[in-house]
Amino acid sequence: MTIPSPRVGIAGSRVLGPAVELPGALDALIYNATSAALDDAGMSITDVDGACMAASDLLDGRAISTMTLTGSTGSFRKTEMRVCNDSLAAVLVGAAEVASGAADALIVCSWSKLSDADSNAVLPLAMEPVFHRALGFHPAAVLDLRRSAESGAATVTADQSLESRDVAVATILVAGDSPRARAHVIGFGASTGPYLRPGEPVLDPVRAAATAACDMAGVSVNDLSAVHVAGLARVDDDALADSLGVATGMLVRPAEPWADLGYAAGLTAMCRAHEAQTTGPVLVVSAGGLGYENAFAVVMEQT
Amino acid sequence: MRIPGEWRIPYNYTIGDSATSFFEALRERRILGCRCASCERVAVPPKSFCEHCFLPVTELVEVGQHGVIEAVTVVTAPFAGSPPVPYAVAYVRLEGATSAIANYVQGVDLSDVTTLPAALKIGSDVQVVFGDEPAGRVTDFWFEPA
Repeated sequence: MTIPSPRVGIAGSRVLGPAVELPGALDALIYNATSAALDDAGMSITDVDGACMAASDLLDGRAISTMTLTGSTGSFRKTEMRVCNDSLAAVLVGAAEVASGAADALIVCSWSKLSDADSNAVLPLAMEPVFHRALGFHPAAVLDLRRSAESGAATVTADQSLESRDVAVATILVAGDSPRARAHVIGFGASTGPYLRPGEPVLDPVRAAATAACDMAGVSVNDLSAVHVAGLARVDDDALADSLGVATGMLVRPAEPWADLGYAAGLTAMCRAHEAQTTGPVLVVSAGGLGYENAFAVVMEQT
Repeated sequence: MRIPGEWRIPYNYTIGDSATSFFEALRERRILGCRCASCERVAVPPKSFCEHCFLPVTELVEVGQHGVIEAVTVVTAPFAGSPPVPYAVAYVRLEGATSAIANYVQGVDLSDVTTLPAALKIGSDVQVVFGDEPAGRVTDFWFEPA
């Protein structure tokens, strides 16, 4: 995909949480994040043409959660798009909407309120239902089976210490030449590997997504100032840095690397990267799926 | 304030002709795959299309009941609905197949997960073992060291 010039800008953002529990109803949390992002951008709801969100009905416990949450995402009588994937995918879709000229400004938002749910009950539903869910094995084994195939050795799926955290996050995308743009997203990448078919190196999708984002941005990994990592809690720094071809010291992990932010992880990392005001191009990577089979990356730089 | 809620939605998954043939064959203690006419890969379980060539696949073939472990993990973390820990789950490529299918590995000593048994090494030979009364479910069979 090639996004035509001008590039896509970031006018403002806001992250609420992560916290063990963010009090308040889900729509109120989302409203608090989207309205604060608009405030940060110096804009009002009338300045944006739509919303793109990353959400999961399963995790939200609502059928078609986009409809039940429409008011809070700011999409009344506007374009509303949703991806059921990590929120960097929503950034990609939202950026395409802005870059195409279909929207001058767009809210991209995501959330996770797993304090409302029993994640042990939710996780198995992510498994393919006929040949895998019926076996009832631990969902974390999916990643360990991929690791086993890659390493050529048996692995052990021990107790997982991922902890759910509530978070609501929003950013405002604007045209790249907008005076409101305080940063620009200059590269996007995505890659999907085979699901439930071990054999491909675990980090191949992440590496492919990152390479595509850097290529689009016209930068090499040597040009990057930092690499912000969303999720990927069960991958250690050395393996990730080696896969991406960067020094371990380049990696920026969340304050709680073992926190599960659901689909909000990628956008949260991107907003944190924006807040960091790092000079030079910054890569943000995320991966979803039980075994990190699905990865996204963006390259951004401060204005 | 929180209000309790719950989703209880029964599903009857339509599994299609290929998987139906697979599960019907399990009742007869046979395992089926599908062969792509273009690349000749044999996928187990069978699908109605080849994921590599993106072409429809109609030919079903019976594969062998011996195979090799391509990936295996020993699960020590208890999880709702799973077997008692520890247990081993493996992807096994059966004779005549080019892809692997997941199921449990039984008949191995998992009492000390710090020294996993040699039978769980990648490439180890295993065989399919069926339960007494196959019902046409993936749980009808498991693997044991050959």
